[in-house]
Amino acid sequence: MKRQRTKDAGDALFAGYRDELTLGAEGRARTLRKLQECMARGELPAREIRVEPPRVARVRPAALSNAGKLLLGSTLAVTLGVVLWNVPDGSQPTAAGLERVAQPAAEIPQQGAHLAATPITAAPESDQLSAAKPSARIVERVRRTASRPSSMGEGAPLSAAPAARGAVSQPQSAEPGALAAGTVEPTPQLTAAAAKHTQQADRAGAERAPRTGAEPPASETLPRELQLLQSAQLALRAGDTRRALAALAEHKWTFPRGQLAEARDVARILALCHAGEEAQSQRDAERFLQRYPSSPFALRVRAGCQAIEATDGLAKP
Amino acid sequence: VTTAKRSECGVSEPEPAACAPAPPPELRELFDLHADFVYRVLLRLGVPRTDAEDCVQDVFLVVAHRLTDYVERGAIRAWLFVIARQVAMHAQRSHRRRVRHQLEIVPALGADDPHRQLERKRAIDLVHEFLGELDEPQAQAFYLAEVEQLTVPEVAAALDVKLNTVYSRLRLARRRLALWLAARTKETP
Repeated sequence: MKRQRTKDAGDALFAGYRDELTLGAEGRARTLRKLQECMARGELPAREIRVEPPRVARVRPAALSNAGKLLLGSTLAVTLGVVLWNVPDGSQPTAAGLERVAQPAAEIPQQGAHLAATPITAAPESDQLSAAKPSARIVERVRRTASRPSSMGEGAPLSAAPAARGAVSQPQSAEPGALAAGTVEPTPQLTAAAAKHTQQADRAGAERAPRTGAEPPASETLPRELQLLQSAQLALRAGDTRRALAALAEHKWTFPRGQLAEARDVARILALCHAGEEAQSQRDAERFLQRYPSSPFALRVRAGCQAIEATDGLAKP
Repeated sequence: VTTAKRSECGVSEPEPAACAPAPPPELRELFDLHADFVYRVLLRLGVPRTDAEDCVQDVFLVVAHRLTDYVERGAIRAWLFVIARQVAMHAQRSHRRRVRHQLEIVPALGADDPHRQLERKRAIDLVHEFLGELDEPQAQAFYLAEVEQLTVPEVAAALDVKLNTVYSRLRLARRRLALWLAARTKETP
C-alpha cells in the first residue's frame, strides 16, 4: 500500500522530469540540421568516442508456444492494419467494406453460381477491394489465412480476382458477423475475433506462421517485440505518425529478423503513406515484395499510397 | 576534427547543400525517438546546457557511422548511454568549444504562466536533488531504470555490471526514495 504510493509519487515526479527536460522542438530541429550538415561534410566522430555496442543479457520470460506466437502475430497484424487505415478520418469504410465481404461469405457458401447473383459482383468487388479497401482486404486476408491455411497457395495475392473468389467460396467461416461488428470500434473486439480465428488456424496447423525455428532465443524476445508494435499502434491511433515510425524503427533496429518483422514492415509502409513520405513508402514496399512475395499483405502493399488517398479523400501535401 | 569523404556523396569538393538532406531514415527515426533521452543523459553526466546540443549531435554522429555494421543488436538506449558517456568525457577532456550561434541557448521553458514554469523547474530540481543523495553507482542505476525507464537488462548492459548488481542497487535506491519522499511530505504538508 505504502510502497504503491511511493511508486506513484516517484513515477509522477519522473514523468514530469522527462517532460520538462527536453531539447524542445527548436533544439531538436537545430541539432538534426547540424547533424545532417556534419554528415554531409563527411565528418567522423572523434576516435575515442567510437564505442562497441553493449551486450544485453537475455532474460527468460515464460516461453511462448508456437501457437501463441502465431496468435499474437496475426492479432497484431490485423489490429495494426485497421488502426493504420482508420487514422486519417476515423470513418467507417472499413466496417462497411468488411461487412460486404464477410456477410456474403457466410450467407452464400460454396456455390459458385451465386457469384454473379450476389450484390457484389466479382470483378468490381475485387477492383474495389484491391484499390479502395485495403484494410478490409488485410483483415479478410488474415482471417482467411487463419481459418483456411490450405487456401493460401491458390489464393496467393498475385491478383485481386482469386481473393474475391476465396472470400465467396469460403465455407461457413466462423462468425463473420462478429468480425464485421468488431470493426466499428476497431481494436479490441476485432482483436478478439481475430484471436478466435487464429486459434482455429492453430488447430489446422497453419503454414503461414513466421518460421524462425533456426533462432532459438526468439521466444524470449516476443514480449518486447509486441510492446514495440503496440506502442506504434497507440501512437498511430493518436495521429502521431512520427512516434509510430520511431517505434517501428526501434523494432527494426532491435529485431531485424524478429517474429513480427513482416507485420512491422507492413505497418511502416502504411505509416509512411500517412506521414506523406510516399517515395520512401514505395521503396519499402518494393523491398517488402521481394522479401515476402507470398505475404497475405502483398496485395495491399502493392496497391501503394494512392489506394489510401483515393479512399480517404485526403490529398497528401 | 578529421574529415573524410563519404562514399554516399561521391564528390571530392565539399558540397554540403547537395547531400545535406540525406541522413538514413533509420537514423532520423532513432533521433526522433531518443534525442531527448540522450540530451538528459548528457546533462546528467555533467555536460553544461550550452554544450548539450552539440554533444547530442556527436552521439548521433557515432550512431550514424555504426548504423550499418552494428550486428550484435542489443538495446539501443543502453548503447546510446554508453556513447553519451564517452562523448561527455571527451567534451570535458578536450575543452573544446565550438563556434556557436547567438540564438542557441534559449531555455526550453516557454512563455506560459510563472507558476507553471516554477513547477516544471521544480520537478527537475527535485529529481536532481534526490539523485544527489545517492552514491553514484546507485544513482546511475536508479536514474536509468526509474527516471528513464530502461529495463534492468538494458541498465546492466549500459553500466556493464551484472543483473543482480543492478537489482540490488535499485532496491537500495528505492528504499531511499521512499524515505526521502516521506520526509518531504512531512516538511510541506
